[in-house]
Amino acid sequence: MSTAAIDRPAVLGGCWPAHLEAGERSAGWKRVPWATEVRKLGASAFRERGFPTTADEEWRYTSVETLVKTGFRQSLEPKKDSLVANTAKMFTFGLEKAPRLVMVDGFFSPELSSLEGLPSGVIACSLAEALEKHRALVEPRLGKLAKPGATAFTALNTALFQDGAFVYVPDGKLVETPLLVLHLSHESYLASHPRHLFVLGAGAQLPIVEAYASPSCDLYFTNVVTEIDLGRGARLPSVRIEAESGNSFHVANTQARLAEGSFFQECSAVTGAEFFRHDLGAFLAGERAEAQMFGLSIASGHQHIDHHTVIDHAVPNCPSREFYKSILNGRAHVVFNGKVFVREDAQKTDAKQTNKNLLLSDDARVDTKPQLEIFADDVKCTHGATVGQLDEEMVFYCRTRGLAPEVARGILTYAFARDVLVNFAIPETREWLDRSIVQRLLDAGRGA
Amino acid sequence: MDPVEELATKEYKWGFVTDIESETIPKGLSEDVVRLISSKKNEPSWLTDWRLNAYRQWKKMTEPKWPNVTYPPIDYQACSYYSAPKQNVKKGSMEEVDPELIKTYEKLGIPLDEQKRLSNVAVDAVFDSVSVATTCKDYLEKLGIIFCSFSEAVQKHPELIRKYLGSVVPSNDNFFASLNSAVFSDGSFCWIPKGVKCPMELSTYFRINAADTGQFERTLIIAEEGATVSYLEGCTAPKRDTNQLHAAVVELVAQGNATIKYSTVQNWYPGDKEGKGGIFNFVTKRGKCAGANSKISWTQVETGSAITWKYPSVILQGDNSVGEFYSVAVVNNRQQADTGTKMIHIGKNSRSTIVSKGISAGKGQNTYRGQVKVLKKAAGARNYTQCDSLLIGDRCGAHTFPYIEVQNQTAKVEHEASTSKISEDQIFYCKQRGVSTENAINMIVNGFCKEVFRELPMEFAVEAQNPGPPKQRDGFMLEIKDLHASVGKKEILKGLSLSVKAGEVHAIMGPNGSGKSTLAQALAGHPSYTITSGTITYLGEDLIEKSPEDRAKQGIFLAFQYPVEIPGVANAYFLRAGYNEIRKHRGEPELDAMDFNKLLKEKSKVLHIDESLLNRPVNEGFSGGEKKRNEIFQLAVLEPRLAILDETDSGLDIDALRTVADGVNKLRSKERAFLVVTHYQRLLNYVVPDFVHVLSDGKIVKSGGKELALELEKRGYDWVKEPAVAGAR
Repeated sequence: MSTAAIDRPAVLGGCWPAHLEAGERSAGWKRVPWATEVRKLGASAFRERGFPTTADEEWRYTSVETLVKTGFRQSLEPKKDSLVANTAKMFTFGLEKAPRLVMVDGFFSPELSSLEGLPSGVIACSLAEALEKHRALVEPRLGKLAKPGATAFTALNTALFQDGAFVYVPDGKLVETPLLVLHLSHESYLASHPRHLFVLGAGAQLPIVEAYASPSCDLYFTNVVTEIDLGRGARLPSVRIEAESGNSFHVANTQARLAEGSFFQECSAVTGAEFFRHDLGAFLAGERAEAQMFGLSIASGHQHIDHHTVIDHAVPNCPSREFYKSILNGRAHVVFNGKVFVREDAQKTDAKQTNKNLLLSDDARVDTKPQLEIFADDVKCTHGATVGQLDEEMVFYCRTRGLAPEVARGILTYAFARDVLVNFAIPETREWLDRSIVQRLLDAGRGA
Repeated sequence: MDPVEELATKEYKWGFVTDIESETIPKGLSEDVVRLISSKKNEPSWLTDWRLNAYRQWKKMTEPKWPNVTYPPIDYQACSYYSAPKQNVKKGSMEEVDPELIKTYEKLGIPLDEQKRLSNVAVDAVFDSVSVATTCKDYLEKLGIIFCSFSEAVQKHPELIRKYLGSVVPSNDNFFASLNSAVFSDGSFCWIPKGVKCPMELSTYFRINAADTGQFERTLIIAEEGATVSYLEGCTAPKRDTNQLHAAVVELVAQGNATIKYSTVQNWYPGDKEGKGGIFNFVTKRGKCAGANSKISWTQVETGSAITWKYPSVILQGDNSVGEFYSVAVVNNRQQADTGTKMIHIGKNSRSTIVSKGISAGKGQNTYRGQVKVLKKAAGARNYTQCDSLLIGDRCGAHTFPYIEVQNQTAKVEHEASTSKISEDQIFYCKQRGVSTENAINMIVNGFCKEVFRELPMEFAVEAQNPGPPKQRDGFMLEIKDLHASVGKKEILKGLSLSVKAGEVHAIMGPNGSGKSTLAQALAGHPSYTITSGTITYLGEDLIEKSPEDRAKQGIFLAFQYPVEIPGVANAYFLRAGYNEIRKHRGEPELDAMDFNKLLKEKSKVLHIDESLLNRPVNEGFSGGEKKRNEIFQLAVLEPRLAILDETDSGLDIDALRTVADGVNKLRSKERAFLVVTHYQRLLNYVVPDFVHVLSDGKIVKSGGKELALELEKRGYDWVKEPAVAGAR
């Protein structure tokens, strides 16, 4: 790693030290003693380093200054009347009848959740419940996959998380219908720290749609950490949907560990949030494990969208693929940093990484950093990045076929997006995305 | 021997020390030292102040920690900042230069004597801290071009120095640039007046000689409106156990319509195998395309230095300005390089190209770090970046850190990168054609780097060696007795015997998995096949212990079932290398490129080979038929004694098959034997064999004449079960 530690005093500031202290005094802090020890690691990691600045290599293009200074509220107990069931029903993402685990403002909502359709043997419950009831499954993984000190935000989440989703699929169990894990934000100026853990036994399969949304257009902050552990030959295709309020902040850290022959795919569609940062890591721990990451971001206004991915090839014979696209309008700023590590022993690695960006406005900005670090020699690694605008030849071609230029641009913009969208693994959600973003893209092409 | 080991044992050629009396100031760095350097150079007070200002800024800075390199802390007080050979005053004519110095440069291949000097190159020779000689000055002066040492320029052209010094790399730019600004000793200065195209290559050769000193040269090149210049720098240093610091600054300014081409061949001492000693090369190079339509092109070949930290950059300020960066960085043993470029697009329609080739061998670590920045005003800016890494061995590393920052929607930026290795198959293929491992690697590396090498103003010679006496022969050309061979733990040949005389054509047939290809590969000496027992005698000598290239030199040729692609290496060039190795072995003179091309043309006509194949990279992008035809073509050129065709007919349509067979028939002679390995009888309709052998389960189970092949075609392989008479003959 090239990132040298920055010698500077910890950047704390804002409401955060107070949130941390209140968290430490709360009843939830001590409820499960072994988990308290994990929380303490988060608290000390946060106090030690504080928030990053743009002098940190990993945050070079993403300033968290506004986020740090905003006076967020904290919620230490769930609010009973938070959301009516009807509101939650709006957010199905093509999965009307699928089983679902729903969180509201960082707390699990049993009323809005439904486990109907999940095969027997599968455990799907709130993480708070799992801390007590399924310690043997949770303790070896919580804070082990996503290290408490990975970032300031992960540290805060580790210390302050209230609840989230826990799913365990036992060995050999194949779940066919996707599970929806939905987090809804309702209260303005609230900072919530949902935390999820998905564990798949050997040969198990579970498709997941992980979604973040809000019925409001409020300012709030969602700071989520998701840990994923895949056993031998397990398969977890997932779609991640960011449909947060346009004024919100969203920071996420997802870390997956892949045992031999397992398969992990994350397809992320980002349209919401004014500030978005996702750190996504896949650790290829066993041979022939495969990681795929796809991303589509559609940014406008003052949106800031930052994808940081790490694929760590620790063993031989693993393929990985990354394909991220973004469409920028207005004064949007998109950042992509994709790292592929090929460790000394990871011969026969086949890693491919692509990042393409479409700029539709003069004030938009793209910073991309596709990065390879290779310590083995018998490998096939490629990466490519492009930044450009629509091909005027193509626009012209459409016009000769009778299309108005703005329509032509809309169609070409949509085609740009579809290229990555077709890879999304869960058909119902892929089609929903296709339908719901087509209009937005046709508008984007028109420069709206 | 492991090719990587072979590479690693290559000696650094320029590691000698010149025994010359020099004046070295005491170690350490302070304001007084800065003043002392300035006074030794008799500098005007503004320059002394400029240095002192830089020194004060440097004291407040810290060494950068972000490069992907590790090295022990540098004690900046432990080195001397000025060392000059005693004959310190620069002389008007060459006769007055110390002959010891002239000898040194001659040894380095840089004759300074006007009579012997390199044609069309003017050289400024910098020895430790001072410039000792500059050639061709008078001639250049007539054109209005100033080419002299930096110190001389300070005396003679202070107005130019004052105007441009620090204008591209400010004295507080970074830690090492500030250090240089404070203590820089000498370097070159070029100024090309308006509209002048410099008719010759300008060149500076930097030599570190003294121990415990650092070198801090400063180069400034100005091309005025419409001027053009090409500049080349080279550098070497003696072998020493301790690290020496080299922190240079290069500034280029290209005014409107001007072009500057700057090439570097950096070959500072890289340290030994264990990483002891070597130069720390921490350099700041930057050019400014100040005017419209200006162009700055950097080409660098970085092979030396223990640690390289270097990012030759271009500020594309003028509209339509062009920036280029072509780089080859080689690290071996424990060398570390963190190098790349920055292209800052400010002007409209500015364009930049980056081609970076990193080669890592031994335990070397190679990092490409580049930034492409398109600022808001740079409408229509374009960048294309290609960044490839080649790994030799499994203990080295290649890393890429590209930063792409775009703030203008009309900009177009493309970045591509790949990582590959030199495969065992490629090396074996080359060896089979008689090319030694080292040459094979050289060739592949050259092919990998050709986009950069062709940007260099000078060509680099390749050397070869090692003739051997031709062998006599008698009776059987090839005798195989009770041969057992295996791949890994699996035995494939289980007691095969076969004898072949010159002039004969033997067909080896058999079902899949019977060991046909194993036999072909084992005869060529493929390293994956282990001979566990039995003998192979070729021309009266034991073949088993011989390397693939020695076998090739003695006339064994294998036409591969799957010919290997060698990107970047032209077919003609590849063949000449193999051909000359074989000729040398036979004690015949080598053919030069002209004569060899003539030979190729003749052969290509005889075999109806399209001449365009000759100049394409070996097998790269060839169709299946083209590859097979190319194998037969190589066979024709290399004129082996024993030609082994391994399933040459597979994957060919009937026309291609006829062409290939036709070629083989033309090459049949009394002197030459053929082993034709094939699954089907088809090829044997065209290449009629004298003997047919059927291989089954690693043994020859039946032998006969050409009619046996027809019978096999009719009845399949199942009926031949009973083993043949031992010896198959």
